[in-house]
Amino acid sequence: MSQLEKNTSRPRDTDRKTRIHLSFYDRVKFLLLFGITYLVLTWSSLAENPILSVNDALNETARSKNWLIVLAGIEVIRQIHFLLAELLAPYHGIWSKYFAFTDRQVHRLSDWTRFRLSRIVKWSLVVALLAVILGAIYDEPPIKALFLAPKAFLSALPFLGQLLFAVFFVIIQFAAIFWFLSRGGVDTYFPDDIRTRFSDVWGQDHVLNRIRENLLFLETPEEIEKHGGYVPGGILLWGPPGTGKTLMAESMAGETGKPFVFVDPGAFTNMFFGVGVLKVKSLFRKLRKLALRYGGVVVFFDEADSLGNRGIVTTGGPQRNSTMSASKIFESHCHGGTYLSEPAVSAIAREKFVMGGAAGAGGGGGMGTLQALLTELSGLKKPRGFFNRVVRRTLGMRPKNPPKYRILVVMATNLPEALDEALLRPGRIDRMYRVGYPSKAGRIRTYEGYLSKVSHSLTAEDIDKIATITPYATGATIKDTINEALIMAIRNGRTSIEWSDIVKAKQQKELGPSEDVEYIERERHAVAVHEACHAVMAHRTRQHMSIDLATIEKGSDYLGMVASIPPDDQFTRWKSEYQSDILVSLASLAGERMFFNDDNSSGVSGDLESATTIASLMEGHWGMGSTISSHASNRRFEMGSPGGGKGKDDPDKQMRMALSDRIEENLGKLLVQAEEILRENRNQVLALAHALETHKTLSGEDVAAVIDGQQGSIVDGRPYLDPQFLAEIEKYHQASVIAHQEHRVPDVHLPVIG
Amino acid sequence: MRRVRTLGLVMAMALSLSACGESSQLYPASKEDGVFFSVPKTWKGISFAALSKYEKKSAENPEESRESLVRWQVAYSTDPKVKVSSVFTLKPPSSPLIFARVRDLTAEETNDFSYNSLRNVIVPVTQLAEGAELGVPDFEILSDREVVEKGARGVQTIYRFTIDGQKQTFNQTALMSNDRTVIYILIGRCLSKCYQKNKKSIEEIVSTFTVEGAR
Repeated sequence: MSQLEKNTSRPRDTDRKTRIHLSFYDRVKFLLLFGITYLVLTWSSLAENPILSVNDALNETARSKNWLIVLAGIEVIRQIHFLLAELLAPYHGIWSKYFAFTDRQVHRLSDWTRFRLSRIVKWSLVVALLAVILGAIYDEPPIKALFLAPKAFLSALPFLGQLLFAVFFVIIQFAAIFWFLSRGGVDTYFPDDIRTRFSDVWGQDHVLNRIRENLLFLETPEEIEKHGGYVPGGILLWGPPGTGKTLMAESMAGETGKPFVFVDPGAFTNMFFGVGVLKVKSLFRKLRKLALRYGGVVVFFDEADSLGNRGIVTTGGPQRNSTMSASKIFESHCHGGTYLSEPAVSAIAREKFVMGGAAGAGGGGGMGTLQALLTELSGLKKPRGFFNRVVRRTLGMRPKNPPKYRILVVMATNLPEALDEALLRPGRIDRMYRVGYPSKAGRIRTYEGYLSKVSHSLTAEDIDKIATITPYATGATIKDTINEALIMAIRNGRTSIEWSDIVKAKQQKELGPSEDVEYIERERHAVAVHEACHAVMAHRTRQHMSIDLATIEKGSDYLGMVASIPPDDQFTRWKSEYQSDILVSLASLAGERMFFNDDNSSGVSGDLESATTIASLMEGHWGMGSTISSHASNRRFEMGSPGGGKGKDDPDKQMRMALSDRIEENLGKLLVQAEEILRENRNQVLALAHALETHKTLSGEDVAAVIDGQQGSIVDGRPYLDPQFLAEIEKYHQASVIAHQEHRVPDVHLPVIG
Repeated sequence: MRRVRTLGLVMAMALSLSACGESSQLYPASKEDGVFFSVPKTWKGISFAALSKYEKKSAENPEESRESLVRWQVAYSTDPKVKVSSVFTLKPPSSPLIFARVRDLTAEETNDFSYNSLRNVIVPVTQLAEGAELGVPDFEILSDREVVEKGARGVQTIYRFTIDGQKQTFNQTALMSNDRTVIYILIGRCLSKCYQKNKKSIEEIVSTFTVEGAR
């Protein structure tokens, strides 16, 4: 193998005994260069002296530029040397040894020194050559010509200026266009420009305290820096719309003694590539200037999702439950979105709309804007400024480290999924605060705040009550509710808001205006029974939610509804709670079948969908069913589910069938349970249906009063304990069932109490 | 391919060897003033500096001297022992003498100068030609013609007369720059006998006199 290699490989240059043959061009190239130089010089002297003959010019040039001949001679000698080295091995050997020796000597110097020396030599050569050329041009001794050159340069400056202008003309135009395009979208407020204070933000005290802390660090950074820490540089405020993120930012601007820079959400939407980058750069230049001048600056990016992301679906981070409008998801006539608890609603929403996550990468900013922002937020801490970088370095001084720019970046968004992951890392956005729905205390404070601006006759208990029954109210909705109540009061000829105005306004805002449709009697009864089943089931089985109101007034997208609210802020959910959620959902089907002789309306579709979804999640995801393994993981690992799918043709299908069997089984059990409960509460259901038919809408208190046979706030439930009256109701019900079957008007009319 | 290589090598060699020759002429010139002429290599030159020095020294009245107006001057002679003094006298030289001079005109001269003034730049040619009694009985003009160069125009006059008992021939070219500020003079002179003998070389020198004008 090695023999073969030896035979076929080209010998190494180091193994050669003689020098490598030069190509013909390499042999003559310098002579050619000298020859051409000689001809050019001759031509130049011919041009200078009109009476000079060519022959004399050649001779003259040879005489006056004899260095050229000397160089040519040296080159000839060099070529002879090369030729000898190519032909004679011993001659080449001597020189190789000599060069190896000199190499060793030279390499005693460090690489850096050799580089500098060679640079000096090169520069001297360049200067010398320049001197010779200038000497030829000015017809002066080379050294003198070198001193004449600057003068010539000065006199040529106007012309050079013209040339430069021609070059820069286009560049200046572009720069000007981009400069103008990169204006705008950024407003600076100075202390005292804004009157909003932290005391104007209600119900978000925990977030405010954190923000106050950040501002404190911004104003006295030494507090943390002398202990080796650093000032947190970024805050993200995220949460549902209307919860006061922008107001908080405004109050920060009012509260801090530093300038406040407000970045418009549209600032980074640009026509041209690169303008966004310029904008970010100029924004941060401005921020640095302000930070140095005022000792700190706050910059606020409103709707930060407009910055977009780079197409990576963000994972981890804060739990991001998109809160979708319940009415969009629950399009059935019985408003499932209202009587289920919030997590159950969002779970259904998530299942229904296979969560898009951050689909649609890119977004508003795009085109490098986001990257520029990321770099500016935590890029290299590089020295800035011409003097600092160039002049100081030229003078051999180390550039000064950049000062600590105290810039507090605040971003607000209600779509945290749309933010780029890199934007949220510590160092850029150190702190993420969820500006959630205000706590009850916050809601009370908010109601008090807005009510104090109008005249009203509400007591502290009233305010407490309204705050309790509006668990997901935000600053914006509270403001709106108060305003709606004021409108209602004024429409009724009053200037002072009363409790009933607030309740009506709340219903109007939450449910939309009722459509004032009069049901025909048997249909009204059916709807009332349907809702009464939900309400009684909820009242009997569900402890984690209380009924807010029950109504059979037809709205824009429902016939009637039972709305529930959590009595207190709760963060964990339990199997028993989900089971009672399902029971409440199934109550409508069980009830309709029970009261209408196994008949049931299509109105239960929404209820069944909710029940099935929750049951599926319980069985497959939450460990609340008969098996333990997670359906999500099973599906991911394609391993089938326990008890099904093994060795079958389509394991996935089998798996789903097995799962759906179990879900159906669970739902069946719960339906039986619901029937039992309703059977036990038959009188209460009919009583509540009667109350609903009588009053159309009942508050949660009244619903409880009717079921328990007590005195409520509006409705007295005690008559419903009277067996005679119950018999009347039962009779009315039977007549309605017959009317329902025969599609006619019931023989018996709605009994009236008393 | 081989032929091309050989040709290249020969070219390179030829270029490097052609530098070994000697030029046949001297090319006195003032590039700033744009004046050129050539003289045979064997001639002896007197430099600008030497001429100026002599002129300055011999000036009787420095104020009237035009030495300060001279921009450039140079003289050549076949006589290797030629003296500077012989340039500035009318005494006929025994071997051909060439004298070139460029000088600024004074403001008055600029106003006055005509072709006749140019003719009279050394001796009062016009007066003598009209027969004025100036002690030069045998003055005669052999040739008189207009000369137009790129940067100047004027007259070339060849004349001879007897001075100090010796007949002398002048070949005088006097040109005035186009902007009428500078005068260019080239004089070739010798004893008439000597002029006749060296006529060819003197006329050749005069014919190379080229005025491009100041740069």
